[in-house]
Amino acid sequence: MKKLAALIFLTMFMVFAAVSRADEQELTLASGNVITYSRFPAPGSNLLLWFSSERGFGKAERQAAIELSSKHVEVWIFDLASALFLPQTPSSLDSIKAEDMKSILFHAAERSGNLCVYAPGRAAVPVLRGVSASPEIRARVLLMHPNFYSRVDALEGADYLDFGNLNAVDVLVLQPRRSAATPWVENQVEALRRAGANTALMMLERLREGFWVREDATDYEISEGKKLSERILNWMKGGE
Amino acid sequence: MNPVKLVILFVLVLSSPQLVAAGGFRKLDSVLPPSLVLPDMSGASTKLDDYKGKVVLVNFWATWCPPCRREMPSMQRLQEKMAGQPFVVLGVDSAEPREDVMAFLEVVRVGFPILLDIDSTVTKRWKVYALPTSFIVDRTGRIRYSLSGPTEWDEGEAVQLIESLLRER
Repeated sequence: MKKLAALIFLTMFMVFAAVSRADEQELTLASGNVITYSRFPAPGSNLLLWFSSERGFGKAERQAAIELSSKHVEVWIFDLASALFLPQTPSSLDSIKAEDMKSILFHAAERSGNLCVYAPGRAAVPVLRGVSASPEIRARVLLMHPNFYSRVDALEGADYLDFGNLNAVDVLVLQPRRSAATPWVENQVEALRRAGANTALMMLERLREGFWVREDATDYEISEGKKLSERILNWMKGGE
Repeated sequence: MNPVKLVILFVLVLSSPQLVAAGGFRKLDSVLPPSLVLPDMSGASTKLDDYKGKVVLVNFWATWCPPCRREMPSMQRLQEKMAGQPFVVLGVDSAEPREDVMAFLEVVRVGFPILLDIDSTVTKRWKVYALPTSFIVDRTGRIRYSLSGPTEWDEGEAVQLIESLLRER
């Protein structure tokens, strides 16, 4: 019994110690809005900017950020909808100004020249607007099942948002195979390429969108969700 | 605009079946369907054209999609409810291997044809961007309604729309 109590205490201590590694930072955007973001510090030059999707930011993401920081990748997490007091919806992310995203990217570039941006779902919209508005900054962009439709109608078709010039931006699109978007992902990739981005596609087999946070996750999705930090690290390096 | 006119306009908009059908159904202007020819679970080729003269519910779905799985039993109940009438459900499984569909159908048994769109050709041709997406085809072979998202097919508006199409000659 004593051993069990000690183990529980030790586990709780480790979790607390890990969580306490994050600190809250403030940043003033071009619009004058002041936002807070979570910083998971790490030594070295690798910096990952993680923008939450329209689903917000959960425990699994926080855990991945903690693990990444222990692997010498500093992580800054931006839940922009929450930070700007907007509802967690795709339209909230659409409303974020390119100039504000530029503020974030320039602030990050002061910390590191080795910048990587991770954006799941609709977070692709502010991120791509931001990198398009910041050609001076070289950043590798990881888009997890991106959604940047401007219009979707069954039987009629879909249009994609125009981000302007994405010349020389390196984009890796990560697409879970088990998604209604999978048959259309090549069109998304093509839209990014037309804008000038160097775009590659990686299909994530046997996984669904948001696999790391799904309440109905399969055993495989749970095991892959636990490896999210490891996967992101590999994707940052450009490989699987 | 004066308030009375505004109220009248509001009532007209709400009551116009041209703009919105109830329950999230989108009323279409008798659209000619894209080609649909696919193998069923036994490998036999099935065409939408084979069902001319019947009202057809074409449902795009996938086994990994929870709302698709949830609405599947209600489609089976609908098929049973419409027994003896010129009505059929066609389930089009989108972009999955046959084995996955087989495993699902062993758990959830349905009595209507399940067609396999393994390479998603038909999904793309019908421009289906969300799952489930359903289309109701009238007896002349024209698409009259679409629905993105799930519903309870054996009750309420879904049944009313299908019955209204069955009453058409």
